[in-house]
Amino acid sequence: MVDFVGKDILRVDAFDKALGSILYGPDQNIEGALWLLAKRSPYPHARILSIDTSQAETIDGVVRIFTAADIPGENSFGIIPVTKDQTLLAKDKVRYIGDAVALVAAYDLKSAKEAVDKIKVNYEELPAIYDPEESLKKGRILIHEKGNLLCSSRIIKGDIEKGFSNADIIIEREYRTSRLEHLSLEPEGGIGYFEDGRIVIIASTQNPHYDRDDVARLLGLSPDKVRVIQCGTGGGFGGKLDISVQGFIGLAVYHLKRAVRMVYSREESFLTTAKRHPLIMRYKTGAKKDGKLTAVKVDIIGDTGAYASYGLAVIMRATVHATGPYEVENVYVDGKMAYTNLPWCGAMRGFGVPQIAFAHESQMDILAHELNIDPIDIRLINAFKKGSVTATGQRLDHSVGIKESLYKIKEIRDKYSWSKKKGERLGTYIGVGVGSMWYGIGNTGVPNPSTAQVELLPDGSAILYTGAAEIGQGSDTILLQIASQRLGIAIDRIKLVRGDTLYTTNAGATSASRQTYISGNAVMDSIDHLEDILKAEASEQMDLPSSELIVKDGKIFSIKDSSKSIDIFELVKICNKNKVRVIGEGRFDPPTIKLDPETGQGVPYATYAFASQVSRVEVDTFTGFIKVLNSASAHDVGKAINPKMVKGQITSGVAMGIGMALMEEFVPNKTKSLKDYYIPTSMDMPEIIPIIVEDKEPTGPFGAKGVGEPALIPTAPAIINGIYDAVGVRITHLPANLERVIGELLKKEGA
Amino acid sequence: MRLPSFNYLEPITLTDALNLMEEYHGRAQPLAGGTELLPRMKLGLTHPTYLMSLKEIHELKGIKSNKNELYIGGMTSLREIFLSTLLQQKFLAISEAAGSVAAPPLRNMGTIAGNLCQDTRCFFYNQSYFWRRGLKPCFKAGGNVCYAVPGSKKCFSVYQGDLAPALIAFNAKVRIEKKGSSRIIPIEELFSGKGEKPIVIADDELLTQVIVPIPEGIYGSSYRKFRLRNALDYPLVSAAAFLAIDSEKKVKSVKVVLGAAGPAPVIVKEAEDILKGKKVEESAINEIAEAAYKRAQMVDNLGLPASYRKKMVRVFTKRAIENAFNSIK
Amino acid sequence: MKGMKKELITLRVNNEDYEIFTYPNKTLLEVLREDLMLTGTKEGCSEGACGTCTVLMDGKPIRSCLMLAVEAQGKDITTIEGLSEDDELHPIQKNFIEQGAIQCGFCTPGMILTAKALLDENPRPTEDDIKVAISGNVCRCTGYAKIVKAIKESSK
Repeated sequence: MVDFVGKDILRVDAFDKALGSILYGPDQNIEGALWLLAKRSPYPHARILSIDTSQAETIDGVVRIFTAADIPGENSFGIIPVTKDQTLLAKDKVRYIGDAVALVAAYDLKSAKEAVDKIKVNYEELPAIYDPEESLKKGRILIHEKGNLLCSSRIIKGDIEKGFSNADIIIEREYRTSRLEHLSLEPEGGIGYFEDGRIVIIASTQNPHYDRDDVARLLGLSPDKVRVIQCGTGGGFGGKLDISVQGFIGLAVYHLKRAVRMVYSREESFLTTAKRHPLIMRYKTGAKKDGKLTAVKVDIIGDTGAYASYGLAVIMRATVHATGPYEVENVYVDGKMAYTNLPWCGAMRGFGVPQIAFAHESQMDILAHELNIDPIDIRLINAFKKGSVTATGQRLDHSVGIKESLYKIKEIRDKYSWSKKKGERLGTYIGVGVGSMWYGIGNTGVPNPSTAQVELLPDGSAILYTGAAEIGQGSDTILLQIASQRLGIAIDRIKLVRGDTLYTTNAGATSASRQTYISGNAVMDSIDHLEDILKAEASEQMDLPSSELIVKDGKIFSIKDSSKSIDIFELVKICNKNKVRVIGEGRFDPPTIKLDPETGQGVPYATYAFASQVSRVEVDTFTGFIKVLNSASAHDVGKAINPKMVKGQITSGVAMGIGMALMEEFVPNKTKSLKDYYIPTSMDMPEIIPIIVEDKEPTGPFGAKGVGEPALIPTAPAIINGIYDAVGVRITHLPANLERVIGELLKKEGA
Repeated sequence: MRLPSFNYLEPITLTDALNLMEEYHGRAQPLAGGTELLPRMKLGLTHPTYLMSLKEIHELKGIKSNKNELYIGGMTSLREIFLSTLLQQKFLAISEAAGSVAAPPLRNMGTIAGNLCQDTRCFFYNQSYFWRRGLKPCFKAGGNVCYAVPGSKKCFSVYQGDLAPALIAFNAKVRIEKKGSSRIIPIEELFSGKGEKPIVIADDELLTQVIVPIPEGIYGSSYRKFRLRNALDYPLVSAAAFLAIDSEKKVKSVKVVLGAAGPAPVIVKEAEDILKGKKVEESAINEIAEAAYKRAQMVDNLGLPASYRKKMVRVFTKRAIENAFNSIK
Repeated sequence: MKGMKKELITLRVNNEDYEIFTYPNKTLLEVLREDLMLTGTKEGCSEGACGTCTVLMDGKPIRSCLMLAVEAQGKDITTIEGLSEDDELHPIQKNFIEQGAIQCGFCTPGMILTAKALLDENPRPTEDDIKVAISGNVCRCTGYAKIVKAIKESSK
């Protein structure tokens, strides 16, 4: 009996990574490949009057310069089919500093740089908009022809006014978050070449099949004329979901039919890839004296920057999750996403939920203090349980581990007496904060299937084919563990073919914490089908009806007479002899119901992850410096396929959450390098206690849900609430950098 | 990012280096650890015709001392300075300053001369060609505008070196050499106070040695550095303090120096008047902190707002003095 | 600029001598990656702020993006490729794998080399020693906990 699920199997990619032999995007090279470099707009908003490349073309080493006129297909891309508003090379207008206007292909980077400098673009500057609320006012200049409102999303449940009139206490606050940079350590990069009548692109990505489809669209080709291969990907966090170098590489290979390479500098990566959406969130929360929530009304305005990217998904997810993991009878949430002339925003670990969780968890904390209820207890009073109905009218019937997560962190907090504030001294105070979250697995109320295949080979091994991108989160290992357990074959007997659009089918994006649940299920489904094939063959060989056969321990048995059996690999040999491959096709699409556009009612996700975190922080009231001392996070992941990797994700999320809470802020036109964007170092990390809660999800592979994004989400609220507990000031604008903390402390002193 | 072109020189003796500097009429840019110069070259902020690496000049490395003075070769690494037990025992602030620079790998590379001679910074200046292109050059780039303080007549870039405040607190001197001559100046005179060209060394001169007088009697020192993260970053503000007392615990001498508070390290001259002959008490420390606050010159050209950084001058001046006092054994 | 000439330089990398004909403005990082094809050394920021380009020079970790290749002559350079012998992993590499200290892997070569330098100098580091030693190598994936643990395990 093999046993691979629930075990700390070592990552299958770790060996190559430890040796340094894995090739990432910037490591890809082919002798003689041309370098690509984009010419980018210095203006936030301008009309392009003309582009003159003649002088640049005379530079030694320059092979070709491309402009929008060279794009043979649709010069528009974007991950969400209804909002493809981004140009590969700007045609009429640039909409942010960094918009690409031309692309140089040269023998070396130096010539490419010279050429970029010599390209003359004649612009007519237009007034630019930097504020999303300004952007939505009437009469403003249009950033896109269809208007400056990208999209809106609304959730209505119950009677909001009645909810407030029943409340004993109403808390109203405004919260703001900042633009953030993913800062994958690997900058975007890849190569491309022409082979067998196809454009081949090898790049770091979270989404090879989407890349293929949008590159094909840009080039006016059918998708089978483009092959995208995901290479080693050094982190993504949502930043490698949109196409970056892929479109440029595709364009150059299309015209030149030769090898090209493109690598973004860190500055280019900062300037031109997606950011986290800053949200303005206006909350009004009503509750009874006993802490029970009666009404939640939220108004959200998001800034998507110059282009849509995942803006629609972010605002929908933020609105759906706006109540937090709590039962609320009366809900009214209105979300709008506006264009501005700032760097565009897209997906980043959590799609709007880290922002909205900061707001709803601050509200819960205020209520707890106002009503003098333990912050964990007030959450327990309101937390979802089996049978609870969410704001979108979805009944949660299974795997609702929020209460369990709260019990776990309470245990830790009380066991170590964190609330006793040991270690305080003059000017330095200690506080304990709590944050909880829920997170829907997969895309919001839309089909987002994954597909996979599993093939058996006569030598007793198997091949797993998946399009799911491994970006460091561990899907290669997890999917192999699932396949191995389900097949009953040792993990090292299964070969993985992953992320190559020629050999694998679409698994959807590595985003929304969806690969374990959705692609894991697709793998399970493929093995179901594989067994059907085996049974059909066995039925012929054994002369028994298929319905009488079962698969067990690598054999097919008759239910009626267990002495009648046949080894599955014997069947594979027979099939292969008959030129039949034993390959099971799998597919899984989480069952969802599209949200009603007016009321937001529906089933946005098939399942949710839940988590709670308690963090102990120390505040230096002279400087505003916050030190996170300890943190315990309990995550309901359904079932941990690989507990060690789940814990790795949890500590990972705490680190990124500390960045979001305390130091990270991408200030357009100011943040240009790693020296201006602060991510936590080893010296900024607390002791972290990761706790796994397993409330099995019946529809998940072995009960699993997801953890990638949830890991991050409760951290910032727990820290911010800890600051309040320590010094009595409430930070409502992230990050709580030194200045904001001191500013609030001074306000409090003055008051 | 790639480096611009240059010709490479690699003298192996100081004499050779000084000869080369004269021979190339000041166009040979000395390269010490490279951790500060090479990023500036990559951004295209400076384009030396000749780059002269000093790494192979072994006579410029190492720490020596006699009864009266400590001698640190210009090419001594920050790591060596940080780890020196002599410095940890007798020159704590200098050791603390060296240990606070960036992170261990950068301290392996960075040198004391390089750290002292680093350029001032301003986020309107320290940016790539993409951002500077099309803008009129600022004062620091040889022009006559300032983007940090529009309308200003001077440059407000900030000196963020960690070593200088600590060394000044110890009344250190530097030896500056050129072919055929050598001069020794107090470190504070190394700084012009002008953001445009903050370091006063002629193009044919080299900073070859740091000389620190060994203080007599009972004394303590401290360097306090403030930044958002506990590693890697330059100071948002810093303060060094030196404090010598007599047997009655009255202050014999005191020196307080600020870092990242203007285009040069700022000596809080009032400290001597306020504390000399008195016991170290909170009111006096507060008075010095107030004087420091007034002397700090900050504008919005670094990571956090100037108003905040200026407030922190008080806090870190106090902490440096208190720590210096507490370090007295 | 006129007149910049290629020079023949000799580098000792992973106990082998290489002669390379290159320009003086090439950094050690560029030569390792582009001339010697040792792409285990990464370029994350190019200005010394990330640590992915860390290599050992005479046993000490340095930023190869801020070191000229020509300056590295006469030194012993160790890159991640030089740590294992014939696919036999170095104990630190083993511990990184076993402790789950590797996620995306992009910081890993620099981390492992920094850890090696630390352990060579201080075979019994405390957790704080480890955190200081790796403080110049940023990691966006792991939250550092398992990296610290892997290094601690390697010191046993």
